[in-house]
Amino acid sequence: MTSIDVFYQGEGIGEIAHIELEHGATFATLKTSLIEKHGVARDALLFLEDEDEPLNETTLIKDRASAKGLKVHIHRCRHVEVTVTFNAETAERRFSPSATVARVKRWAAEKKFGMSEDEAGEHVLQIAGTHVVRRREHISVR
Amino acid sequence: MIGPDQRAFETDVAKATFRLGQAEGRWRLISIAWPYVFIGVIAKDGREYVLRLNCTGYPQSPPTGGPWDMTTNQILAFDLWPRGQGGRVSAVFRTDWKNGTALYLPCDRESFIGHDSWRTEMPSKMWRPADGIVQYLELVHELLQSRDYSAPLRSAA
Repeated sequence: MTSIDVFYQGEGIGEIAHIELEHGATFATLKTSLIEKHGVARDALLFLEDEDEPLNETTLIKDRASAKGLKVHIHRCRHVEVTVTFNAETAERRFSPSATVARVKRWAAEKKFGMSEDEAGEHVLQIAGTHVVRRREHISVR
Repeated sequence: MIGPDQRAFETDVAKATFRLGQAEGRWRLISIAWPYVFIGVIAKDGREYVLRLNCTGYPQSPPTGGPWDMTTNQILAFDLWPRGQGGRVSAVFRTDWKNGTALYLPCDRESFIGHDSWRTEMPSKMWRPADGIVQYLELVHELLQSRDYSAPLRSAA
């Protein structure tokens, strides 16, 4: 493996994007690349997808990557306040910015609104005011 | 010389969203014989179902197509289609719909004809040119990973 595929989303980065990094790259290397490429804020934090705590930027990317690569998120916020409404019931929770729409939906549908996995499959989680559903999109992208 | 629709398709499959699906083993681009593209989508039991999608007019026009047999170069025999247990898979992989040439999805060009009500009934599944082929593939992949999915009646040779 000569390089690592990193798929990323984040504040001000419209859609899922991709970068290849050398084996010896750290998350600080990645952050510098994203600052240069997208004008990301210098105080932004890096998160692994669906993880709650920000990454230590001195960590080598290869130590957290699988053969499929790595999915990360960059954002200035540590948390996003999420409110989900269903049948006049409301559920609220803080998620890290790297939480996927699919993870938020699982939490809301199955844990808060008591749906079975099958029932949850019949519903979609839409961002208020849109008809767009992208399960793998991070919750803070919109 | 390739046309603007093929160029747009090739641009989309080079994007990170499509490549992520390939990297995660959700789908893979097999070949392009424009206007047809052949893409394998992986089910939860590891079976790969090849879709032959006609992408004429992409991305303004949605794709249309269904399961394909790459060996015989024809529509996949119906007893090799993914089955449902009366839920969403059954509703989309309909062997009684257009002779198996189109999946019963709002984002399928042929299936949408005559279904204007889908705009309000299933707005999230309407074709979005900006999302392109990944939207179609994500819907199919989600179905093939769902609890409703079950293996075909017959195993492929």
